[in-house]
Amino acid sequence: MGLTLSSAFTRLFGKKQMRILMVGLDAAGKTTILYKLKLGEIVTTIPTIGFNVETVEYKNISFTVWDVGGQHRIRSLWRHYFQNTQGLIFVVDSSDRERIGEAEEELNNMLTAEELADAVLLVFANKQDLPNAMNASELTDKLGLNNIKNRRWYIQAACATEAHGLYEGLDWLSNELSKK
Amino acid sequence: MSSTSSHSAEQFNINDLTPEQQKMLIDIRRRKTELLLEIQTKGLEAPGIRRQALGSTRRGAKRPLIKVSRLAVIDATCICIRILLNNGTLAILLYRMNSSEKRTRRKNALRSSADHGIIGGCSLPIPGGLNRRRQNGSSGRMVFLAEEAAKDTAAGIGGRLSLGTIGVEPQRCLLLSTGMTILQLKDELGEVVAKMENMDTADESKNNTRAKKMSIGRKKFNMDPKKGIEYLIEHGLLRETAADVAQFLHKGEGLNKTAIGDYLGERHEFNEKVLKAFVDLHDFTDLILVQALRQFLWSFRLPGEAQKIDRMMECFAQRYCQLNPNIFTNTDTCYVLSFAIIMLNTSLHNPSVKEKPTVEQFITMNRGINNGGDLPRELLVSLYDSIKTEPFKIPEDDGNDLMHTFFNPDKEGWLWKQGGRYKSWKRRWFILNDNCLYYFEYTTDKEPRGIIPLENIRVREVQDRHKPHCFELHATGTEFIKACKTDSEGKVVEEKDEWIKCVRQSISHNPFYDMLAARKKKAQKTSAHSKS
Repeated sequence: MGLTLSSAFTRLFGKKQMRILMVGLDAAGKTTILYKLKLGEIVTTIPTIGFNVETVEYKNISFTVWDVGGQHRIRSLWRHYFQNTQGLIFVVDSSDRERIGEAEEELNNMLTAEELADAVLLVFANKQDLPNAMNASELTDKLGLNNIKNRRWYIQAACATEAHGLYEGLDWLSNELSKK
Repeated sequence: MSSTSSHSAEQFNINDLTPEQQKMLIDIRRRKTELLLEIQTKGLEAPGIRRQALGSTRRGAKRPLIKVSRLAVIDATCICIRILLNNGTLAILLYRMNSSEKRTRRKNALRSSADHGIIGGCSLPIPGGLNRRRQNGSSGRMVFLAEEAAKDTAAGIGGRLSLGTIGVEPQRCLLLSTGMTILQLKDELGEVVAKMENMDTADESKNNTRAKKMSIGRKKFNMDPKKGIEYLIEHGLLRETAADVAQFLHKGEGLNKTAIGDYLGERHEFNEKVLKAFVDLHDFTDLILVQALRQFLWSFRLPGEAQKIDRMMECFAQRYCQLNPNIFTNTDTCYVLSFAIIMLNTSLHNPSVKEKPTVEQFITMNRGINNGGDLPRELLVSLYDSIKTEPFKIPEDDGNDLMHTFFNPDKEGWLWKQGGRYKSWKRRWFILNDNCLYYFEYTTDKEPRGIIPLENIRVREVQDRHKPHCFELHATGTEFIKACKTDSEGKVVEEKDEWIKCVRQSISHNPFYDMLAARKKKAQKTSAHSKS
């Protein structure tokens, strides 16, 4: 019944589009997250040479997620894509204590981009299944999330390989979007 | 064999050699030491061609896959054989005769006995066919052989390594051609022979050969690139240098392009070195940027991760600017523009991207990337048009995995097979490899009609009055898999035995199936109990 109602709403109001950028260091698990979210949908996409981009339909919202590099020299190229981006997903490998500083730097870099001033931030604390993984509160501290001003953010513990926590994260994103 | 050689072997002085030749000689000696070590530790791995050519012949005639085209005599006990393989490669073997077999019998002896030790050999792709000039070496010489090998080598195959050999590189033959090192080599080879004589090489199966391992390594690579490379290095098929690995990937024989891309994209010091060396194997001279990119992106499947694309474009740009120094003011511009082209291809052709950028947007996007200035508008427009009309192609793999399985089988031939459901007999082309029997309707079929995994089954002879030479694969349960050898010119009995032997060797045992069967039985019992 709920499903019928929601599909009726879709027909009435159309799907909301949400453009999301996904960033994070190498091997944080971005690709796994992207394709886990896509799982369960019937995919008939033609393979394309280039960046991982997927459209994920969830709760009446169509998320288009881009895997984006954060390198400084190519920042200018992304500017065009940054505009009108409502959400930023930052993926961090919770078990990689060595590179957590590097991750923090990368995150701060992204947050300073003017074009992303209106974007909400979802942090996936990925790889929670690995031994010695930092939990969400430890990562909040290490990534300096409490210092973020004028931006709504949320950290979600996740294990992408098991698809744990991913939809909880999208739930938060869709709630934030509906507020706007 | 009796004609005299126009070339003579001479004594040589190492100081007369060019520095390059001296280096070669040192390499050979080093290689010899390695060889001896290898022999001591692992046992000899004779070339795959040996078994096809000479092995399995004890029982009598077997269709040879190769043709012995030349023989040369080194001394009373050693001969050189030049062999043309059916796959178009040339093999040169140094071959040691049994004391019972004198030179007079050498060619026949060759075909009939499998108990010789092959001292060494190399196989070379033949550029443009065989050199037909007759230059037979007389007794005590192996000049002709070396001459021709050298010519073949020089004709453009360069340092390509041997296929299925115990490790005599083409250089060795090249060096032989000088006619100077023969005596020395003979001595050195003599040592190797002595070591080899102590070893039982008769029962070596093809599984141990280099070609087989190479093919296993390739398959491993396609499933997990890192493990595949580790396997190849471990088994001495690949040297652990960035240049060698890059060469292997660039050649890409039997490799999956996605796997190549995954390996090159890995954020690891060694992988990054391989990436650099890999890019340096490309020639982009006088190509416009987008064409160079098209060529580059055909050699592997570009991964979708931004960081990997970033590293790859960086290497690409460096190479492009190195070969075309006058196009961009600096490498950075080339790198950013290349990156932008990949983004453009994604935006224009990935169906997940709903808003397709216009040419104006593309130009805006690239503002200021040329050292703070802009690139010429015409250049950007032409790039946009090129990508819009022709997306980057998904690179095709070099043959599928099955093709490689079938190319180098343990055994192949026509057999009659009894159907599983309808008990009629059908003639099928069988290929035995990788612990599996594959059967085809025609020899030229690419896809098999059926595959019989040889796990937990047995093979036995069957006495059937109507079907002589019949054997049967049977499972420990009640299922039967039958096959019958086709009648062909009286060789059938041997062939049957050969098939049975080969199949038996290929059967692997996995205790899991037994366990499963035991469980099933138990479950059936308990359910029967509960019903009663």
